[in-house]
Amino acid sequence: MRALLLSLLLALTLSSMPAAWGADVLILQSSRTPAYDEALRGFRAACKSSGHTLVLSDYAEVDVLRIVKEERPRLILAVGDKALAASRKVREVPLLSMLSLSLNLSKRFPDNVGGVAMAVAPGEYLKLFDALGAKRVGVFYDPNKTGLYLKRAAHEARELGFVLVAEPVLEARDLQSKLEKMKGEVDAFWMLPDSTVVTMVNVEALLLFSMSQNIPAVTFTGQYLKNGAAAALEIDPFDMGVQTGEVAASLLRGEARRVQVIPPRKIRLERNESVLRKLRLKINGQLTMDN
Amino acid sequence: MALNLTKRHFFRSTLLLLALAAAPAVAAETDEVTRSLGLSEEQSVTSSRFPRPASRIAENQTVITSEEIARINAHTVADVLQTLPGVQLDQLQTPGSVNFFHVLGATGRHVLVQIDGVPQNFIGSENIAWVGHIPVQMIERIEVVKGAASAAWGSALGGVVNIITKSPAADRAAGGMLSASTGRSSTRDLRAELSGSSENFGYYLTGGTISSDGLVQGNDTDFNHGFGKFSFALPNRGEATLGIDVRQDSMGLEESQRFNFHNTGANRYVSGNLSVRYPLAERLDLELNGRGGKREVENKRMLLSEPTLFFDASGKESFQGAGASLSWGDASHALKGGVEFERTDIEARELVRQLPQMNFDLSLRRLSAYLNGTYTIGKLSILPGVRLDHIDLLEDPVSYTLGATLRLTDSTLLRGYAARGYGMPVITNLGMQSGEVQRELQHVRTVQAGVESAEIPYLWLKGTLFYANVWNIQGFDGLATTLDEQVRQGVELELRSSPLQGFALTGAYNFTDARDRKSGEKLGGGESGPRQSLKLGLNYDNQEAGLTAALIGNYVKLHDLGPSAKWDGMLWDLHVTQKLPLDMESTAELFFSLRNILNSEQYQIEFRPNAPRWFEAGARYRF
Repeated sequence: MRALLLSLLLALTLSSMPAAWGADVLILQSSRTPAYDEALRGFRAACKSSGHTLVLSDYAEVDVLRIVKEERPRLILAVGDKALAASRKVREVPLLSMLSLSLNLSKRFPDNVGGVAMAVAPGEYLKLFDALGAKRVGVFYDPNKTGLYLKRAAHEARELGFVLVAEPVLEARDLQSKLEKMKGEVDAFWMLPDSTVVTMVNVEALLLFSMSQNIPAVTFTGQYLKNGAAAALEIDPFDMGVQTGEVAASLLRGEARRVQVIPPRKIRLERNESVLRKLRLKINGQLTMDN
Repeated sequence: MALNLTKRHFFRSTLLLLALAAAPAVAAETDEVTRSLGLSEEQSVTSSRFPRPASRIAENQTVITSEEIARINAHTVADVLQTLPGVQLDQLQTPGSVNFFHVLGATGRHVLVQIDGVPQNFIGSENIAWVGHIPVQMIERIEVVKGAASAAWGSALGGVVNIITKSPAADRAAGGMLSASTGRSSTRDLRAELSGSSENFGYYLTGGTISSDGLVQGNDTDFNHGFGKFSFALPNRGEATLGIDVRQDSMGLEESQRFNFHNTGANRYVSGNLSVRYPLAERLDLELNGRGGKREVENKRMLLSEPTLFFDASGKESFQGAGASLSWGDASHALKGGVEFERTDIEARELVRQLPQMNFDLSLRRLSAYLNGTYTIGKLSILPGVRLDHIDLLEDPVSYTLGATLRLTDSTLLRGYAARGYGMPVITNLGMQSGEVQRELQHVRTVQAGVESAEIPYLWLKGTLFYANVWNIQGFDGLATTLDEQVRQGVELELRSSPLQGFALTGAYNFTDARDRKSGEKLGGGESGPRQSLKLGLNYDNQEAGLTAALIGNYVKLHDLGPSAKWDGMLWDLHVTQKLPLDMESTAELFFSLRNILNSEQYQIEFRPNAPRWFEAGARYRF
């Protein structure tokens, strides 16, 4: 009985004592890469709440449900696709994601999942195609990987008077045979961050084709400018972190109730002037913008 | 000679299979999109440095997830428990048959088994939870607490098997799975699953059948099951969940020409539960739950030589329960308090001998209140807890616990707890010898201490020392029921490695010394489980090739086997699954299991032999 009274007394005394709360944010980082570190610097600059970070690639297996149950965070931040996939069964806690390709490209997520999407909004690409004077835009996509994004893009393209010539690709090796179909049908190529379509071999074939057909290729990363792409819309990991941090702070303050997927606000236009000159194209207007 | 040849062939084949399987694992690489965006790691990593992060709880807990359950092609919870450190099944027979188990020397009747908060222990049937009659398809994860946990869970003298079912798929309107497997003695397992969500509503449905002509003589099974879960989103991230669980099983239990008898059984189970979780404020959640259901069990024993029943027993139990709890705080500073009510009506009959201890009606009501907390100062967390129960007809137990964890480094944690807990007594037969229900509950005082560390690169290690003093354990000295006192103490060691070329090792060793406190004599295997056990696992994963394999070995040493026992070697099982991706939304899987590869014999009673070597193969289609 003495032990019982002691336990009760201890529980009540301890619970009434002031104590620092545990971490507000459980940060699940897919791996140790400079881009993730940069985004996290941005996140911490905008969201001053305490956080506990777990780098998933340090571990062979991470039972995220167990960690969430033990840590009881108010918010989870999943950085990268691996972290987002590992957290997919968490329902009770709001989950924000950044630098995750799958966030708005292929499938819908539960209501507690949101964040800043990796893919630039289709409207920004369409502005770029407009500036390049291209009305018929060719795009290859795997319905399972970028189908959701393409559906949105097709809808916006129709409304703005563009013709989106979209060709589904289910296996990487199918792209080269499908390229021929685009001959004379399109004024520009749009390369989506689709891992079925974008392989080293396919990138080379697509850019060679664009050069031989004198049509510009627009990509999601400046990495391919040196290979012959005409322009790219790049995201800024630090600003994406800041943007996510602002959403997180708003959720933690109780100002925001719904978790939503929003597009990245800071987009950088990268261009390959020599390719543009060769194609006798000029990008008009101010395209780097904050949403 | 034949056995040696089989063993040699088995190990050579296994090595060849594993070596072949290793080849494509090396080829895995990051995709071009990830690389071009600068999201791939700067240096390619072939193996993660640490197998898993350390847990933060004071109890000795093991968790197994649906992915790990699928890997071993398990049919029922019994198959899953057999693979866990510190847990041992007494009988490994046909899927869907009766299984008894021990957790760190505690008998299964002292272990609380529950599914989404609905208790599975059958008070009218010696407080046993029939883990062989719980299918695995609906299970998301199983958390096994090894050691007394009454302050949080109530009647849990030996531990808890907490089964959490799958939630509705949140990313699609409809998706599911079809699975079929077949093996020796027409052993079949057919299952289907359908799950999805719309805006505020989600559903999860599964059903199936497990049947067999019997892997051992007289052990045929016919097990049908269905489970449904419906979730409704409430404002402010609250959720209401309704669950329905229906199971029906008829089976042959055992048969002996020598003793001229045949034993059959049947189980019927239906339950429903409704739970509501609602956040009242920041870090303050309210949980309400209500449950009800019926359990029925039948057991008939007859002579083989003539159709004469010499035992015809049945038990029926209806139960209703409700609970409310408030949880406040986070990982560092938390309190959870609640109240529970449960009513169980038991009807027991035995029609042949009609003994009073097997023919009675009884109603038990339990009212409980509990409070558990966490308080963290730096690296030290203190975890006190207390629970008061008032049980009609039985004594009113007070359970308490005081636990602590000390985080030495990010990768090393010391844990320990001391607790007093209780378990329900056996009411039928032993508990009714005097014509009245034995009022005394079974009690435990326990201390556990352990360490968990991932400090050594590529290894995760966990060690636990345990001591439990249990009393009021019912026995029978030939004339009357006795109340015995026992001491169980020992050590449990666990190991996991990080994967290397796709291969990962797991290992667990357990030593339990269980004795009668007064006489000092060691307890037999039937009373306390194995004195020593060793569980080994070699897992292989190749995500690129879609191939997974698990080779599992189980060695057990029991005390006082008995004259008709046979116990040789280790039991080895091999499970292989090959995934065939059809598209992003659907996959096909082919799988096979070769169980008891070396055809080892491990049994304590000759008419309850373990299943011999048997093979099964099947296919799954996920959409």
